[in-house]
Amino acid sequence: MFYRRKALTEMALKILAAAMSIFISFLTAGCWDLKETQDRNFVLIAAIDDAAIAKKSASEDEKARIQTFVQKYGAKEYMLSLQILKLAKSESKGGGAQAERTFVISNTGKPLFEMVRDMLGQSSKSLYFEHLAAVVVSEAAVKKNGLQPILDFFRRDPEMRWRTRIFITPGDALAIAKYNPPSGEPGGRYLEGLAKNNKRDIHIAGLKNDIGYITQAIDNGADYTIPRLDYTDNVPKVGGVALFKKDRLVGYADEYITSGLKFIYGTEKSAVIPVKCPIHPDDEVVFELFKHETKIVPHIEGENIYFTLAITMQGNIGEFDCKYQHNLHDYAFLHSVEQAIAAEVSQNAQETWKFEQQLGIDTYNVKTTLKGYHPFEWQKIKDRWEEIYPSVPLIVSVNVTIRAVGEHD
Amino acid sequence: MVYIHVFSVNGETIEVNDKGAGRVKAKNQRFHKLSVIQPAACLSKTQRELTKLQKQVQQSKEIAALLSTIVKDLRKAAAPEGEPFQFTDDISINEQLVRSVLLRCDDMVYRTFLAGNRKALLVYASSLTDTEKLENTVLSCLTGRLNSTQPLDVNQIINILITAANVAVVSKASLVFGNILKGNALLLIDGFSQVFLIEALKYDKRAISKAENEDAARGPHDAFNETLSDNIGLVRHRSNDPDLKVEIFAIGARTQTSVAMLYVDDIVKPGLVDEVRKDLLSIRIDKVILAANIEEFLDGQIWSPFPQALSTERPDKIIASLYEGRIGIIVDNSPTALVVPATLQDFMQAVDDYTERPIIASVIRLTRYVAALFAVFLPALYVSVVSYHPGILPSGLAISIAELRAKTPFPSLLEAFLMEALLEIFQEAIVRLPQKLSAAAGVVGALVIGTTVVEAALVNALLVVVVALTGLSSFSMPSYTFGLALRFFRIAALLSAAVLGLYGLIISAIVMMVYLCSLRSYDESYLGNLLDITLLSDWKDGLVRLPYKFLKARPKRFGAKDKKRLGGGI
Amino acid sequence: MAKLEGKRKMSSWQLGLVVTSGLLNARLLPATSYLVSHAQQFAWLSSALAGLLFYLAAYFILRLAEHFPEETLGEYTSRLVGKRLGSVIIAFFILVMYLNIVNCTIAIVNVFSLYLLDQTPRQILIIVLLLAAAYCTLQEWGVILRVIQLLAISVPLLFAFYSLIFLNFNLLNLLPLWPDSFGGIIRGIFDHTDYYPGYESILVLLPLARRGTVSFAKTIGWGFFAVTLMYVLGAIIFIGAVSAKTGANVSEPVIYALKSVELPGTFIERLEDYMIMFFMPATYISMVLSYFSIGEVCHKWLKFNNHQTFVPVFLPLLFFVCNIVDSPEQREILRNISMYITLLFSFGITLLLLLLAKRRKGSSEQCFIGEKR
Repeated sequence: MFYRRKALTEMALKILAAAMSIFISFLTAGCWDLKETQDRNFVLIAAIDDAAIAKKSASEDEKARIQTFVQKYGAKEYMLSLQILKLAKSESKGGGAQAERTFVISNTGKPLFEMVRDMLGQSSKSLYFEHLAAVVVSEAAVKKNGLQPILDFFRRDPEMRWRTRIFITPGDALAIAKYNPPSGEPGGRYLEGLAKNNKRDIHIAGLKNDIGYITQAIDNGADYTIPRLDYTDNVPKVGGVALFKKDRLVGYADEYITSGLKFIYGTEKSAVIPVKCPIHPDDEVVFELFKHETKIVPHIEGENIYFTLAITMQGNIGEFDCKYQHNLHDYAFLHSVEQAIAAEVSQNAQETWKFEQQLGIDTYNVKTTLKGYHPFEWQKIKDRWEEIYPSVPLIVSVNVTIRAVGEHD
Repeated sequence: MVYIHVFSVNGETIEVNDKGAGRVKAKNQRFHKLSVIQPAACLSKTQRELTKLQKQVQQSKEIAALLSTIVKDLRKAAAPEGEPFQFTDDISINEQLVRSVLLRCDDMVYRTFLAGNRKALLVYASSLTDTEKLENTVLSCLTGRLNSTQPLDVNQIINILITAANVAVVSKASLVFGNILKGNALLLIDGFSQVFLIEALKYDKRAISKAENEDAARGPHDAFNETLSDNIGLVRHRSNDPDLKVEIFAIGARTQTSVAMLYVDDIVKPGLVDEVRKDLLSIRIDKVILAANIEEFLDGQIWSPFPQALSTERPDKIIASLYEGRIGIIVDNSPTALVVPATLQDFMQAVDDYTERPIIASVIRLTRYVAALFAVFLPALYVSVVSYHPGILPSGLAISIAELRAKTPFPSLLEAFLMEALLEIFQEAIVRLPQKLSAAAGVVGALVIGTTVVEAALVNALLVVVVALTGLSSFSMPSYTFGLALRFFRIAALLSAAVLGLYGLIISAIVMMVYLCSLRSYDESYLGNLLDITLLSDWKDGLVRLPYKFLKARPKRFGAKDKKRLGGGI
Repeated sequence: MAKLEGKRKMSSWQLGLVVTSGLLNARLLPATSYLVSHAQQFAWLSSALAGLLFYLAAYFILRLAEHFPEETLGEYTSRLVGKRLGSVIIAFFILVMYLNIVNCTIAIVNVFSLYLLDQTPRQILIIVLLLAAAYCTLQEWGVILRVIQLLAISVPLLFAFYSLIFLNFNLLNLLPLWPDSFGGIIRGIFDHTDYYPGYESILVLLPLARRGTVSFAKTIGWGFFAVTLMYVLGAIIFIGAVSAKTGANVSEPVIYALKSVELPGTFIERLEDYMIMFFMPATYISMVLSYFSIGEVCHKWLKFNNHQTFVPVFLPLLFFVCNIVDSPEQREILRNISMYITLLFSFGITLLLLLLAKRRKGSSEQCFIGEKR
């Protein structure tokens, strides 16, 4: 019996091995997903404009006629421009102008995916979105149908990344796609770098507003912000935010409100906050933030609803621009500086809160916080929330500690 | 072809060639073949005669051979079962018998002398026997010392007269020839039907020297040579343990090579010795030249690329294995000894692991395991990432790889194969070349692979890095054979990654793992204690090596009888 | 070569590992979005309760198996309930195991073809995986045991890797601590059939285990505890990182969650792709174990020489069904069918058998040992 069993096993194994080897040799005939890296066109920026900008002049009109396709469904609503990496290494040895690293192709239409496929008529290799660095949407495009139809393509395809940066530009997105940074980097990587500076620049909103977070905000019924990108004549600048309520662009907020938003979020890790010198109000002291923690807590007392925001900040004196010499080792004076900073931060947060209330948007999703902390009360007031929200007060308490005053007084 | 025909022209004899003959013939009909006049000159006839003669010679040879076998058989008929013949009292008959067996062995020396008044004959192989020793221990002792008046006794001769250290008295003819051919001398004395075998071995052997392939920085430097007795000596020298047993078998129907099986009796796993002995004795082969001849008979799976017996040229490794409850096998004429059972861990260990500080040794050993993974999977990973999933790379890296690859025309699989082939060829060339030339070949290889191939845009620089790293990883394996097996699997992984990307890669890794699990070396899992719950206690000398203080138990995976290292009965 | 090795039987810890290491596999990938949509931010509570419930089922199965320590389901069932009904029960068991393999295959192949290999025909991915599983199942049990032990290390690694999403943890997502509906939490418990599949293999594996000082209930219990702990912690950090609403909106939430993680300063990006790879060995374990259970129960039931014979028999069957079930609708149907069948088997049939076995043992020892009623 032992031998019989053995024989059967070995035969089965042999048959399986034969089947496997045959199968593998058959497999080698097709490598379905094989696409060499150099056979892909790396898309770095996807810029979305209103289709109208394609037809500004007569010559462009002709061009626009080529850069589109006949559609049975859909409409010529958007113009999609893709910034594509040039793979042929530029032979720029020994001076000469910086060779362009990228080129741009455009198309007009409505479903983005269809436009992308039609663009293969303009691109020698397949378009490859996995290393997409930034999505730039023009204000005009957003105002047409809201953000959702634009965003959908970038969150449905598993090829896309969550952490892709997105920008709103008041001008033309196409122009930004054509931008060639003087550093020689590809434009998309440059924009991504700009957005990543949010950690050090208080005016760039960048951490909680990439495609992933926006998707999450939309799912949870929250309002959200998208960094604003201005561009004129080869000068890009990120600063301020575009405010969205659900799907709709409500307006822009300036750098001051942006910094207030970041104070409330607690995402700021290395901000620079200038305040007035406590003794000489004409001059400034600059506080350099290191550590920042915030906690926003809803309170309900009877009919009264209010939020408290506790902010803890630690940092250095980064610059002391006062014309008069101050003794920074005078702790009483330092405390007065700390208080001035706290007052400034508190003021900024309050103004931001009021600004949002006026617009009726809620980017830090306080209603979810309220629901989270007080689920039963929330059930009672949730239908009236839209009316209650504009008048809900925020009580801010800021605790600032100066840990060092710098190297040289 | 030129046939020379002889013609007679008007009584004169001339030689022309075939074509010329035709022409001349047409002109003049008086040309005739020589054979017409002289029948004895007929070529074809001579040919026939010659063939006949050759046939007869052949037949007579056959008859001679037949006769000699008949003679052999006749002698055997008189001799007991299994013997070629039986010795008689008469020395001349005995000499004839010996000569008949050693027919046409021209290296045999027959030295007749008189031992007293008796005729004596010394037979030995000139190439293997120490003649000086024979002179001192036999010839000078016997010549003239023996006289017929004394009552003669075999014991007397060896007890009083012959001074050689090792003398045997035998009557079986079958034993005699094996001994002569080993280098011992045969002494025949008239009047005795028993013969004497005198040890006088001498042959040129390699001295015990450094290990050629497994040298260690701090370990002992003596290594096995090609002599069995020296090799056993090297092992014995390291342990004065009476439980260390040595069994010697003669394997190979013709070569009768000595194969020694070493084990420690009270440690080795019960049943293992019988199993290995049975396997050794059941080897049916006519010659054993290499240790590998034996090794392949001990393998459970002969088609596996993985070595299933550890081969080493270090006696210290053998002794360490013996005290783990394993069996060492030393084959005569082969400087590598075998150890069974062998597991993956053994191929990943080097002697230096035990001479360096434990913590350093552990790091080095872990590195070696990582290197083994590199050696198998790195090119496959490269192909699957570059051709299938460049998305999992950081954007900056993906862009720079794409820029590198944009200049090379080949798909990554082909590129990888090209580099693999180059690497294999260079490896083979350097291994085969004499040492002085191999350095030169190394330079050529480095130049060609390193720079020219990249500059010619045949492959990209990254791939060169990948393949070079892979090659180095497989060289870092302590066992060359094991490194070769890894190379074999590298190709399989590469192919599956080239077809199905990371999916193929991970499936091939799993299948390889299943394959390794299914391998057995004397019924011990080939993966040893690697992540086996029941063998977890072996971890102390597995992926890492702990200080000796903690290595108190023998590895469980070899099933040693005596589990503690600190002595059993003492 | 004769068998020298005495360690043919596994220890009780090994049994615990083998049974529970196959629990966590790719089947939970599509199931998570159902779970999260039902139980919302209380998915972790559902997981904890489900852990208890399924351990209870495993415990009863173990009790049943321990009534017949040297036999598998294939042998004693017909003695307990008669030949015809016994065959039906064994067929049911085979079906449970079979559906586990099918579900595993479909889950892992889907996630691979969604994220990594969208052009490759599904059939190719399926057949390659099934062949690989069959190759392992064709080995002897000792080898399979070894493979499972080796690959089981991937489960804690998987969890460790997955916990990277803790970087995006936001406590607010777990609030409020009061559910919108309790029904959702209960419904979530039953979604866990995909989280605890294949423990029914105890019915086949028990004769292969050696009774040691530690009871099987204990080792398996520890295994369940470890897996449940992973699920509970996993659910907490999942909800915290991606929120219940987003989790319910995506098809493979666990993979998707890894998309949110960015590890600056490291070489590693697109962690979801790595996550998929981690699921491969874990799923493979489950498949091989179920495949082996099918082979083993047939081998004992039909009195064949070995379990290997049945491996090639089931291969085309597996391929056929995996190939057919392609659309989301079909997958959902298959998922529901598997859920009901598994629940019926675990909580109905085995309990019934257990009661019968107890009664039989109580009434007469001889009758129990005897061949037929």
